[in-house]
Amino acid sequence: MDRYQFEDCLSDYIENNLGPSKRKEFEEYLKAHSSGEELVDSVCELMDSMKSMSEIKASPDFMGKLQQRIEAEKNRLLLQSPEKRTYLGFAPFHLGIMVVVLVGLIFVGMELLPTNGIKIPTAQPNIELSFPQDLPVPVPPDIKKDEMVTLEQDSSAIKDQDTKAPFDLDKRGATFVKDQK
Amino acid sequence: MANQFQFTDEELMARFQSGDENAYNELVFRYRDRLINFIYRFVNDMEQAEDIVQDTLTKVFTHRHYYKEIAKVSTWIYTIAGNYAKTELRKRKRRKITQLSHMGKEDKVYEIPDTEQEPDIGVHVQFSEQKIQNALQSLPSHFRSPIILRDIQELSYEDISKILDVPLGTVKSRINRARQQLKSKLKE
Repeated sequence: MDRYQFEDCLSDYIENNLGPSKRKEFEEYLKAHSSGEELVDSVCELMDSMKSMSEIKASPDFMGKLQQRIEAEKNRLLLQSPEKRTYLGFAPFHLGIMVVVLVGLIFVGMELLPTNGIKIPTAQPNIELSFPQDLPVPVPPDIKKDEMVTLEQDSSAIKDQDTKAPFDLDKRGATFVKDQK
Repeated sequence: MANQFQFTDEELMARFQSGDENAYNELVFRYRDRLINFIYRFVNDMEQAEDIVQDTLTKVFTHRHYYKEIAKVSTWIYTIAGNYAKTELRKRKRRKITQLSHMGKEDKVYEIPDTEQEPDIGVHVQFSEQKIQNALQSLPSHFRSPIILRDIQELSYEDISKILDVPLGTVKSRINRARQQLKSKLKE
């Protein structure tokens, strides 16, 4: 153990916090160095005198003054003007401005959103399709004309009957075979 | 409230938080002298020490709901007091710098000679106490507060570590070095 290690362990030795091996090393150093023993004695003496330092008492009017301070503090909190009160860390005026700006932003954002034509794709069958109006109806080449005519009614009849039809047939540009005839 | 001593500090604090002001008075009664001792040894001015302790106890009153029972009440109160004391020291330093900067070439600091007679054997203990108090003031504040809390207030190393918000090992080494520095200052 050198001098630095000895000084590092000084308080632990005095307060009996050293492990057995360290303690042995420390005591060996003490035997070999009389200055070390002097240091231990003087630090012990200092600690004793600090422990026995006279206790300082509060002045007799301490409690009265404290009571006054507490009352003053209570009154201050009660009389605190509304401008000084904060909500979520903001003064009411600033919070009001922020709320107005936020509501305005939400409103403008909603106005900018397109109102129709957007459908979120899902697994459900009501997928909206759009066809150009003027495209000619393709006729598959390998299907004979009489095979195509399977409907015995025209499109107006279907529109009247089936109001739940998911497609607006006219808009989609679909043409019934019978209509073509 | 007849028998306040049956309650621990934490129980008293809980009662105070739920509106019992007698519990607060009991806490003040338990801590005022301990705190004055700590702060006086730290700032070396009785009037300021009382002011700081009053600030501390007022803050305990107004901020009672900030205390959570994860820490000891003593640790919480000592931390508040220690912070106030450090702030006071900083203010003093600033004041000193301002005063020095305003001092002209002709201005000199005169030290008033101590007219008190040499202490006799009967007041020898007090004299050495004053010497210790003066030596404490010459220590840097990060050495001063842990040694006061340990050797005068007799708090545990763990409590000191929590109060000063410094690791346990650092507290131990600071106290060890503070003792040696204090000893050599007293020898001078």
